[in-house]
Amino acid sequence: MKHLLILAVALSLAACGERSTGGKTPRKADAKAWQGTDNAFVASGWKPSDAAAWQEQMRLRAQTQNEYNRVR
Amino acid sequence: MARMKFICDAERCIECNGCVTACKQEHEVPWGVNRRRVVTLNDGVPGEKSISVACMHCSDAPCMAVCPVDCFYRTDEGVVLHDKDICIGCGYCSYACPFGAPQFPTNGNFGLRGKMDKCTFCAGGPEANGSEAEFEKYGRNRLAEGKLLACAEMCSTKALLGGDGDVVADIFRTRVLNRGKGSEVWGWGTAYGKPSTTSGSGIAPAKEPTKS
Repeated sequence: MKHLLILAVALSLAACGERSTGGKTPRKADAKAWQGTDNAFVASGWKPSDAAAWQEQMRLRAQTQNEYNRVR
Repeated sequence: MARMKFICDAERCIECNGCVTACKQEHEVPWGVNRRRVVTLNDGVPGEKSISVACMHCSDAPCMAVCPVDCFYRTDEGVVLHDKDICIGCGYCSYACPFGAPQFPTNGNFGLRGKMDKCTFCAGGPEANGSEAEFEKYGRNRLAEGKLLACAEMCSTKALLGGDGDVVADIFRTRVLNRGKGSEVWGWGTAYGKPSTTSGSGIAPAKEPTKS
């Protein structure tokens, strides 16, 4: 009877505990943009997974917005 | 590492809404959600000014500060993104944002508010780059494809500039110096902070040309 009572108390209090998350969120880690993707829409002129090539691609691509490069 | 920024040139924006359309089309944004919109001041009055507004990917993002479930994160390029699997749609970020960027799709009866949606700087989300899951939740990941933002690249007058902050600031500075006016960039100081000195790396103020 005593054992049964202990078991009942243990089971009834089991839901009262709170598991620690360690201060971390379950947010997923994101891949870097320079790692690229393998779909068919990747722009030509740079090699995915090369950070330096991606930086250069971004720089060159941004310059297409500069009409002073095209019209003088 | 590049620090991605937007600049919208109010002297050039003609309120065509091409940026809004490009964004909606590129990411298949649902009805009722506008990641980008064009705001016009003094509409109909001569001298009206328009500016294209979206998430400014703030350096010290208030949405990130107030989120109770910590679903926001910032990439190495300074792009503020969020994880929709964690977002609870509480709307705190919407109240905190000075630009009204966070959007909430109303799906279902009683104005049920869905998970927050906002401009991703065409950088997708925490799912695998270019995956179907990423596209479904966040839209296309153009940065991982080696492209810049659809809105800026589609802008017909090049009023909206996007990309590495140093590069777009140089483009804008050249433009301002050539035309001699319009150095004010709306929202810049709010989102990215003000330069400590006027002669720092900020955009140089231009003088009005003298008429003779």
